[in-house]
This record gives sequence, C-alpha cells and structure tokens, in this order.
Amino acid sequence: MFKCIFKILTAVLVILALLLTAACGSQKDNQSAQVSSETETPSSNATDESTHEKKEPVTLTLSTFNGWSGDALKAGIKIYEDSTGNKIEYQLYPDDQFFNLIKAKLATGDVPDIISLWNKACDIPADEMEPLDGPWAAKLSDTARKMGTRTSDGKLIAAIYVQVPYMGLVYNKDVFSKYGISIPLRTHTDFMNACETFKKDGITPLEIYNPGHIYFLTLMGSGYIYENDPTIAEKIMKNELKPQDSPAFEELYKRLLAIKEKGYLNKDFMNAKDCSKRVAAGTSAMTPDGTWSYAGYKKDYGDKADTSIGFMPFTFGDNYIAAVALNNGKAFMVPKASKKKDAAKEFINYMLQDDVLKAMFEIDPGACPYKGIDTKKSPWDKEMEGYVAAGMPTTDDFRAQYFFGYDMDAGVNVSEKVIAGKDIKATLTEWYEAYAKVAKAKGTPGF
Amino acid sequence: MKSISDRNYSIWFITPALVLYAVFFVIPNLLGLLVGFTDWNVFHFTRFRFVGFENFKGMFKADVFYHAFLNTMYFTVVTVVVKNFLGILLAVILNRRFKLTSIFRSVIFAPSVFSLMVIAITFKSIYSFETGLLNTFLRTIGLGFLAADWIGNPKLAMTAVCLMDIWMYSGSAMVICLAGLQTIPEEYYEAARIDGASAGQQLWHITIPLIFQAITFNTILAFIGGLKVFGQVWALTNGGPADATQVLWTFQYAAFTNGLFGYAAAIGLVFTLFICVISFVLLGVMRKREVEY
Repeated sequence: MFKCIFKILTAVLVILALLLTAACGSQKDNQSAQVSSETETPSSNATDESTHEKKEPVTLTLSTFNGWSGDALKAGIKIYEDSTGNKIEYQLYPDDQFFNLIKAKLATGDVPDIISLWNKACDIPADEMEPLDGPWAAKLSDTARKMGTRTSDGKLIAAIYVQVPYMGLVYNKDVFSKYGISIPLRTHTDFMNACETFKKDGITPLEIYNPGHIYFLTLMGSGYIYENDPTIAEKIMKNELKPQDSPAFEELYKRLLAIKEKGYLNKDFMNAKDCSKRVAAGTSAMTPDGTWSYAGYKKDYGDKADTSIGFMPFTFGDNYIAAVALNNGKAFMVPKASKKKDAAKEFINYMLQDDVLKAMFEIDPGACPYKGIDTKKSPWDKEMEGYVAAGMPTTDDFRAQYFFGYDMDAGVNVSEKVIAGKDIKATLTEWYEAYAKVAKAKGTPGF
Repeated sequence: MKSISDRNYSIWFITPALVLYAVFFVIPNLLGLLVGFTDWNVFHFTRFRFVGFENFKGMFKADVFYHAFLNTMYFTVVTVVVKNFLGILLAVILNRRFKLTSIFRSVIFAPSVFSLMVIAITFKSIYSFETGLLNTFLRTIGLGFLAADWIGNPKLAMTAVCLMDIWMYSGSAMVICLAGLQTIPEEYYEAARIDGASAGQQLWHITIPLIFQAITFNTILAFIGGLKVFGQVWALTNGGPADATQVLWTFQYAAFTNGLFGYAAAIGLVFTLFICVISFVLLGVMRKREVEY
C-alpha cells in the first residue's frame, strides 16, 4: 500500500514540476523578447520619417473601449500603417468592462503595447505607464498636460489625440425659437421654466436614453456647489465631510429628481433608442451630450445638424454656469511591461504630428489640445466658444475640476440610482461607502 | 515486471483528472479562502495584509448586500418552482408519441444551449418599451394597458430576468423529467386504470413519486443555479435599475471591478458556504421523499 501511495505522489510531483518548468520557460522567453526588442528599436524621440532607419515592420497591439474605435482613429492609423509598414492590431473590449480589465492586466503584466484610455493619470495605475515625450509634448495645452501627468514624479504618461469637447445640451433651435426662449439657459430656474413650456405643448423637454445618461447633467451642472463653497471638495477628499451629510448634495439630487417627477423626461428614459432622432425632428427639445457627437448628427441629419440643432451649457445652479470642456479625452499610453515600448512610443509620436492630427480632426472636428495647430471646429464648438468669449468661465467636469487625483466614482452612479427611484440619502451613503473603501485600499490620508 | 492490479489501474486513470482538479479548483479555492482575510487590492498588488474579519464586517454593513440577498432568493424560488413545474408538464405532454414529438422536444430544449449573451440581447429587444415584441403584441391584441417598461421599471425588472431564465432552462428540466418518465413501467398505469384511477390520480400517485429522483436533481441544479445567478442579470440589466436586480454575485463583481480583491474574496467565501449549506439541507430533505416501487 505504501509503495502504491509513493508511486502516486511521485507521479503528481513530476506533473507539477513539468507544469512549473513550462511556466518559467514561457516567462524567460517573454523577458528575452522584451530585452531584444528594446535593444533593436531606435530612439523614441525621432519623428521625421526620413531619419528612420529601415527596420522590420512590427505589429503593435492597441487596447481600448469598443466604442472608441471610431473613423477618426482608424483614419490616423491607416496613415501610420501606410507610411511605416507597421500594423496595429486592435483589442477592443466592452465599454463597461475595459477599464477594470486593463487595471487587472496592468497588475498582472499581461499588457498590450498601447492603451487608449481617458487622459486622466489619476484614475489608472500611473506608475505602471511609461513616461512619454516628443515634439508634441511642448505643444500640449496646460490643462491637458496636467490631466496626463502622474503625481508621483511629475512625468507625462498620457498623450491626448482627440479634440477637447464641450459637454452640454444638444437642443433644437426651431423649438426654442418657436416659444421665444432665449439661449443659453443660464440658471436652473430658466431650464425648468423652459421644460414646463415645452411639456405643456406636448414636446418632450429632455431626452435620456438610459438612467446612466443622466449622469451627464451632474458631471457638467454641479459645479455651482463647489463654486459656492470652495472648501466642500477638500473636506470630502479628506473624509471630513460625507456627501450624505451635505445639504448641498441632497439639494442637487432633489433638483435632478424633480426633472423626472415633473414629467420632463421621455417616457422610455430607462431604455430609449431614438433620442437624437427626436431632438432632430423637434418632438423633443434637448438631450445631454458632448460636442463629440456632432460628427454623428452631421452624418445622420446632414445640414440640419448646423441649421436646426445647437449646443449650449447646462447648470443645476441659479448663480453659476460654466462651459464644461473635457480635457480627459482619449489618450494613448504605453504600459511599462509592454514588449515593444519603443515602437509604441514611435507610434504615438507619429500619430501626434500636425498633419495626422489634422486628418483625424477633419473627421471628428473640435478644439485641438495642442497649441499652434489650427483644426476644423464644429458649429457647436463655435457656439460654445462664443459664450466663453462673452465671459462665461470654462471648467472641466466636476471630478477633474474639483477632485483632481481622486477617484470619485468607485462604480456607483448616484444620478442613475436616484433617477431610477432609489432614496437620495441611501444612495449618497452607498456612494460614500464605495469610494471610502477604494480610498482606504489606496491608502488615501483620512480614510 | 509486476502486472498492474485492478485497483492500481483505476487509480492511475483518475490521477491526471485529480491533479487538474486540485491545481485549477481546490488550490485556488483554498487560496481564495485565505485572500478573504486580507486587504489585497489592485492598488497594492503585491501586498497582502491580514485584516481579520474586517472584510466580512464591511459586507454585512452594506445595505446593497441585503438587497442583493433578497433579490437572489426571489430569483431562486421563482425559477426553481416554475422551471420544475414547466419541466414536469412538458415532459408529461411530450412523453406521448405523436407526430413531430422529436421536433418539439428539440425546439424546447434548444434555448439551453444558446449563448447567454445572445439571449440577453434578444430579450432586451423583446422587453423594449416602445418597440419591443412583447409590448407590441400586447398593444396589437388590445391589451396595451399591460405594456410596461419590463427592465426599466424597478418593480418588474427582477421578474423579467426570471422569465428569461425560465425560458432558457425549462427545456433542460423537461429532458431530465422525460428521462425519469421513460423508466416508469407501463404496468403501473395499467393496474391503476384497472383500479379506476383518473389521469390526475395517476399523475399524483404514480408519476410524481417515481420521477421524484429527477425532480430532486432538477431542483438541486436549479437551486444552485439560482443562488449562483450572475450572467442573466449582468447581461440583461447589470444590476439596475437602482439595484432592483442586484444579486449576490453582481455585488461581488462590483467589488472585484473596483480592484478590492480581498473584499471580493470574502464575499465569495460567505456565498459559497451559504450555497453549500442550503444545497446539502435541500438534498437531504428531498432524498427522503424519493420512492422506488
């Protein structure tokens, strides 16, 4: 019997040893491939094609959200591929999974060569990214640079490649002019009065395609809280104030809920499909969106996107409104554990050359985050710039503007839950518990 | 060289499977058990700090946990009862030989082999308030007042998820019951008919007791599947609206996606223990009711 047990144990140990050897061998192969790729590729600062040495074409993997592989990026990548002979292999993931998936990949070392994420160094394991540099870095706007710089050593790790869009309300100009309502709606009272006017005449005031969509309103319209009390954000970040104990937060979400309770939302706001169509047709007045959607409206509705559809800012406050411009747009990053770091950095330098950026902005127009580059702007961007020129302040969304470096979401969409019927205080408490857990895990002081 | 005895022969054959089972199931689960007592997270990936029962305390303090627990129990009870009922009913009907029996059996069983994501996307479309198949049908037959936002209304969303699961897996329950029905000797029914038993009496006193093993099997599988529900909820509603369809495993998944691995492991440990205890108790109770003539 003991001989039998001994034989079985020996067999088990041999099999385990074989499995471990195979795993180690694979790791060594990866390391040697990384070393050889690092020694073979040229300097990452070279951007002029004529100075490039002739080398074997490489295939770089680019991971991003499913919804981010738009025509503009594809056009830019085509220019790169045609010019260099290199290939970009897309790794696209569902929009609601990619962010967490890439965090896990960064932690385990199983990374793509290039990641396309938000231009927000504070939201990702920034120390797992390679510092980036190139001729484009000097032209980067101050705000975009701040967003893409990691706090541990002040190095730039994100290279934004899209326009700096505005967030606001897409509105039907004909509907507003029919009722003589002046644009923009500068206060929350003006907004609610306008909604009441539209509702009385059978026009849906505000189109929402699902409860998560209503978060846009909070992102761009809650700045008045922090302008009215500049200490509130700091207190929250130091755990000196909980949102459920703040009357300002409770009031904000009461105002949000009032939009639904007064019947200003479309009936199918939990799961709608045709929001933009209804706004374009004039059966609805407004929908929260960003100027990044202009290209889609132009494609679907042609000249109507310019003549009948406009864009304006939004606020929940009665004494403050700002033009919210997102500097946290799509950006390229290179993980430290990438096997083709230098080639990846060369890709970024190539894509951020003036002519490639202009080609991408031709498809997705907007304000360029790089100074000195004149790109095509949409009529919606020009409308918002008109408000700014007339004195309206410009800010980022409330997370980047007032909670920079702090993960405010922690997976809880308070606006979504409130609009779907959950109690405001209970939701704020749930939100606090979620972000407090994350802050504690990160080691944030005060938690 | 000694010849391999019968006993060694069987041991050698199961050893590779045992090794794989140990490496990919037993060891990870044991490690998961330990991880539940640490603060392991994505922000400090190589740091494991023992925190005792802190993760468990945090879980029991969260309001969402109790909401998720109730939703899971509702889902389990509804789907177990309805799937078993439909499984028995369909099996009794399709146990008779008539034209197209095989086709009917295949069609009813087919949904259980389809991809869950495909079915969820299809049901999302069916449940759509404005243009969904269900509401359009109700409006067409004059029952428009019953049309509702099936996955957007917090009061209806969980039931909508249950209906999708019932549609998917009633066929499997039917197949198991059918197998049980086909082992019942016809003589019992003949004897019952001679004694004057009605169809209902035959069903209650002969069919049900003799297929109780199949019912036990279906119940245990459906029960465990119900308590483990994740894919159906995640694909159809992602726990919304307003946590109306939040279940235990979406609650755990939310913790995992926030990078709180230790906390997520603790949640998984508690749920696994709960499922094991309930399953063994249920199995014990149902086993006692099985009969063999």
